[in-house]
Amino acid sequence: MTRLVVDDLSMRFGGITALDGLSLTIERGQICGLIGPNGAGKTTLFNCVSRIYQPDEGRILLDDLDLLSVPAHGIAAKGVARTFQNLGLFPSLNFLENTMAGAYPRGRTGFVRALTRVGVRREERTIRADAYRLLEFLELEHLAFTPAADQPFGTLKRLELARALAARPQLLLLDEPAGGLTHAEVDELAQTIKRVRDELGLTVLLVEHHMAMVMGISDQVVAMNFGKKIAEGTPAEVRQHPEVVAAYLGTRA
Amino acid sequence: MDLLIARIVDGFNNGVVYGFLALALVCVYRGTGHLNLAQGEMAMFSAFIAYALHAVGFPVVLAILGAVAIGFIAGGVVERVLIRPLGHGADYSILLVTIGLFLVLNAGAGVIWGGDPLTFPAAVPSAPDDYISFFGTRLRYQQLLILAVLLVVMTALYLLFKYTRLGLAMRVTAGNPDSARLLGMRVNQINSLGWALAAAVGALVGGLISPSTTLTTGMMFNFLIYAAAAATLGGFDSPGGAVLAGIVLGVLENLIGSYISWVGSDLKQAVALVILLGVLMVRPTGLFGTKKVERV
Amino acid sequence: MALPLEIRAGSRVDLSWRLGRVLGIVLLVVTTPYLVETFRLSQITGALILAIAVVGLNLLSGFAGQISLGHAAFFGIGAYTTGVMTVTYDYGVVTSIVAGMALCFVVGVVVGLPALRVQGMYLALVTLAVGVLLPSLIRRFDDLTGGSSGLFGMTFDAPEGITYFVGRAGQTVWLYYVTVVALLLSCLVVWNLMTGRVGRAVITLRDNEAAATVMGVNRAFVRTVVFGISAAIAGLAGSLFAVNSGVLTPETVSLLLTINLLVAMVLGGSGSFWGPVFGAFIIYFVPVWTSDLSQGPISGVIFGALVIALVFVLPGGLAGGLTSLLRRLVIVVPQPPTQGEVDQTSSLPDDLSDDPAGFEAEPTTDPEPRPAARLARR
Repeated sequence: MTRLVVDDLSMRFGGITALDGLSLTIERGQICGLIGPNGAGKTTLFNCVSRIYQPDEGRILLDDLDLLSVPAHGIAAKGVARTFQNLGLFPSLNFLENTMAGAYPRGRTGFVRALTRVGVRREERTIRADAYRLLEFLELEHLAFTPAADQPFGTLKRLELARALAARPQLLLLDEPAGGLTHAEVDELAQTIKRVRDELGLTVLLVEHHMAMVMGISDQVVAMNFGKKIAEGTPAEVRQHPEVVAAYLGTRA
Repeated sequence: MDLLIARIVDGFNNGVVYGFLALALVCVYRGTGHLNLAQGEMAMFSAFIAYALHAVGFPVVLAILGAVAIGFIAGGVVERVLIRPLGHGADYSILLVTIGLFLVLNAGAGVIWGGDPLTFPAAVPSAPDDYISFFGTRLRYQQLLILAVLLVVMTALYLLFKYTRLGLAMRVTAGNPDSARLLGMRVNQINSLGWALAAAVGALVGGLISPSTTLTTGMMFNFLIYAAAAATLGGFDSPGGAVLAGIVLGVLENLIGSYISWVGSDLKQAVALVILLGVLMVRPTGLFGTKKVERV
Repeated sequence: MALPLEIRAGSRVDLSWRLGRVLGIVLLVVTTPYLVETFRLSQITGALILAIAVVGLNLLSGFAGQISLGHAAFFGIGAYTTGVMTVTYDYGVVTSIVAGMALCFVVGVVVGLPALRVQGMYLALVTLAVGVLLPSLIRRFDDLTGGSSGLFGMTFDAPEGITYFVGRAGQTVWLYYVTVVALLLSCLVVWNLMTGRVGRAVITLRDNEAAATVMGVNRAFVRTVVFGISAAIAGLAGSLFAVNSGVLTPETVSLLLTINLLVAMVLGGSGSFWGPVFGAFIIYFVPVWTSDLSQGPISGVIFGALVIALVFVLPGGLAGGLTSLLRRLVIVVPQPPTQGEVDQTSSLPDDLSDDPAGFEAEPTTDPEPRPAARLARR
């Protein structure tokens, strides 16, 4: 588990200020829920932390590491993993292979080793077994050899989680994990996230619209609107915060 | 000085052809958002059809117009039968289909009409003294005709795209057919129209330039590359830009080829290609192309 | 006996099936020189050379999903490097071939760099431009390359003293074996790369670039290196072509060659391991046969029509079709890792760089990157 510190982050797209001096801290092992209306800047923040965007100002620290100095493909090695709203999966591969793919940052076989076959077989077997164990953990092992296309959305979301976890991250970023799931699946997901955090020792940041789920599993909640943080605290505190209520429901006319 | 003008005019004439064919590429792009690698071969095949029509007795102008009409229909049919069923976004498959079409037309023309070059008469008087003098060079009537026709077609397309609802619809359907359908636009017809127009334009080019290039199966090979370069430089969705870029390319290539002896005639084409590569490096979607924004 | 027959991956039946296939290929390779006359053998060599080039193209376009309309350029660079080095500068053949491949790798990486910025149709144009550029350059620098008149005299002489390779027929057999070995090595390279971690990097990059990047795949590095390797393999083919045919002209490395390579790749089945070989043979021999039947380039019409038909009917090409057919007869059912292996993973370090204590469990890894259909049970 790792500590994430976002310090005074700002990002503009042309005339739009997506992030406006945002700061937040997630302590080790915490689950932090990020909520806010559409356009609040949640995804932008997410993309900054996963290094898809380069913010204009501010810092992001992973324990002591300056995350902004790491290129997009380097965050996996530093222990950051994320899921995607629209599924970052690979339809050409089956469930097991997708999960094995997620273990990429942990492997060592590069072009040279692949060609000379030094240690490749053993590493492959290790990664394969490890990925299978992860599928068992998420109760997907019966689909191990099924292509990751044409499966129910909820199942694929779990695979997405498996893929992210295969990298043995310290920080897990979940991008609207409950989107498109049924009520039962959302409950299951909530339990799974908690289990993952408890058993694997992770820090979790999740962006979510499903209020009940976020409030149910988060240790702390951060609410955003217009690129700024408008509230921060326990779920109970944030739920009642007047600005949060106003952002979602509006104010009395 | 005369030589310079002669070279500029020469390059200009080539550039006109590049721009003309580039217009066809623009039409397809406007219609379905794709690059039709077979555009040159479609033009070539249409030129042969014009030849065939002329051989059975049609006067030159009618033969060309006939080929244009046939080309128009054929273009629409190709889109309907070969492109549309592949669906939206099947870029790779469509590219392969255009390559297949390239082969079929190229080899097919060779099978039907044989491998020897054929002669196709010009649409206007083209005896050795049929020219206009221009600062010491000769502008042959045929070249002037090509230029005139190009300008007419270019203007017509420009007006079509910019000022008619159909033109706007074309731009929308190429980029986002689902939304277009929801808005009530007849996406299928518009897609076909793009291809049909392109084929017609190509047939026109083919018919007009074959007198000077002689009619062979390879005649459009080189032009396609220049046309693609012109369309990239000028913007795949801009008729005016593509034509202008074509002309600039033609002139530049000729001047550089003539005055920088290191380049010589062998590397003339390389000039256009290097320019193309250079532009794409700096602006990966072409000089005037609209940037595509992807949401993660 | 119900079809399809199910075989467990890693079982003895499976292993003997695989061994059988390998032996079959070896048998085919070794007996061919005895079964066909010399002229036919040199034709087969020509087709095999083409196959090597298609293997290279397939790595880039079929597996990595990068369009290349200019692969003939790499073929040409390999061919002319070998030609110039052996004929003009009197280097040894093997040295020239290696030099050609190295040069192709570098050029491939250089071309791959702009390919990072450019997508889809524009990538097609960039590669098209590169492919068309090469014949022009060859013509321009004709003191080096012989220009339009061509470059002559390349040979790869059989080692002396081996009676098997004596004489003209022997020379043909020698070149045949050299080519077969080169083809097998190329296929092995592609296989080694594409199964395993590197293959996952390439495939994930192709399927979903953003997800692959977030997962740690260095897009720039992987894409350019794949470009380079693909180019080097094509260069190898070019070098062998030079010594096999003895003549090089700019026309041999024109756009037409690129189109042939592309068609061969598509017909054979892009993204498959054996497709390139099928495709190359089709591309090579159909024109040979049709020229007996009719005048005119009817083979072009056939190929064009086939490509179009395949896109609609059989996108997996010949290899894809054969694999589907084979699946109706035999399915190799992949096996999950053993319980022992799985249990051991819970004590794995996060970073696998320090190889974990060895697994004692028997190997159950299924090397097929695309295992057969769904599990019958469950």
